[in-house]
Amino acid sequence: MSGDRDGLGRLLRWYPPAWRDRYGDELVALLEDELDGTAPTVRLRVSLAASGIRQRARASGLAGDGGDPALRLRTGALVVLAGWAMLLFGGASFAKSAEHFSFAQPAGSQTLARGAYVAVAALALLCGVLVLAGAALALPAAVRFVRGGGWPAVRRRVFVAVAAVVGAGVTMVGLGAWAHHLDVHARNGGDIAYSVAFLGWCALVALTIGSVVAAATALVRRVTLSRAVLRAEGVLAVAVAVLVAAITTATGLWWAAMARGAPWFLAGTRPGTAPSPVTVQLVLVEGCLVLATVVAAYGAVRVARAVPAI
Amino acid sequence: MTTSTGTALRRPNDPPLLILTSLAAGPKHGHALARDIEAFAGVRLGPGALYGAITRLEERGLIEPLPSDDRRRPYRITAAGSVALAEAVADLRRIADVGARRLGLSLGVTG
Repeated sequence: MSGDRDGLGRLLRWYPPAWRDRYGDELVALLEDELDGTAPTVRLRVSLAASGIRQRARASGLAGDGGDPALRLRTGALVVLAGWAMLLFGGASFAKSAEHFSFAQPAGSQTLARGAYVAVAALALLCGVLVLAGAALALPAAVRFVRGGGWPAVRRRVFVAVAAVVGAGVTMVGLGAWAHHLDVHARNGGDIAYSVAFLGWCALVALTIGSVVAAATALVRRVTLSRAVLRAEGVLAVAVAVLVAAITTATGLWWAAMARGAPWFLAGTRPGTAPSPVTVQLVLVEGCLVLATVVAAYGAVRVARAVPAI
Repeated sequence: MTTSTGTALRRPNDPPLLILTSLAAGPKHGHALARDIEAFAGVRLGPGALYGAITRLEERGLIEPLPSDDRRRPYRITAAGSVALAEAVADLRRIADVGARRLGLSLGVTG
């Protein structure tokens, strides 16, 4: 029977440890009663896994309206940060896709595309400033946390993030120097080695963004923030989410304007031709930006629902 | 349909509503709750769904555990839980009354 109990207990590995400590024995007893010696079905295993993941999401403040509102606000703000990080990646790809677009259209037909592009750049800058403001607000608490002996808890993630940032920066300098010796055709797929290196750099940037967000998450979840700072972080998070949505909309407008005025630019064909403006690259970029918007919006809703209880 | 205790009990087959209804008849542990709910509502709550709902109800103070030496810990409905259940039942009753009136049915009062 003890072996059965251990086996059933293993089904609860998806639940957070604190939940298992409180309810684990009861749930195992219920499983023993329900199963009456028969083996757990695949459906039951999947159901318990899903329930455990939901409990983990609730325990981390990612789902549900119960529990500590400060935790829900922090987690919501971190979700917005993750959405912004996705936007950075998609935005960088957009910038690459839009490179030299102003030469592709006849003068006088560029108003919308130019306006959308300028809006993307301005909003992205503002978004970056707000994220930095949020980091600056949390910095004193982070310093207190580190000085108070918390450094070992976050050291590994911070080192990984710093190493990734340095690695991505050095690689970018090397890639830039290489690109300087290539013509436009070679830079845009003509040189296979350069293209592979560029894709590798994109993957490194994605890893870097992910590791920085992971380090920020590890730190922010542990520091003690005052109510005023929490509220300010909440306002900043909602503002960033709104900007992420605005940037995604502006990139869509740019795409639509270019599709109408210069589809050959999007498709990479000769000027004057009429290819489909729907390219795989732009679909992936826009998909990434829409996903970033959805993620940021979810975080902003979590924040907005938690703020009144702070 | 948000009660004064802040708990949304939206549907007749919501696990929290079913658990509160079951506990209104007296304290029960998990297995007894599942059997009772299956008997009166025809809903078979899986162990994960049952304990997910128990967790939320306990966090909101609508049910509470009773002391027990056994691993099968019984729960009972609290005063706040009774208020939440009464409000949910009243809401459901209003909807049922409207539906019955529009269909020309007569609802017998039971219990």
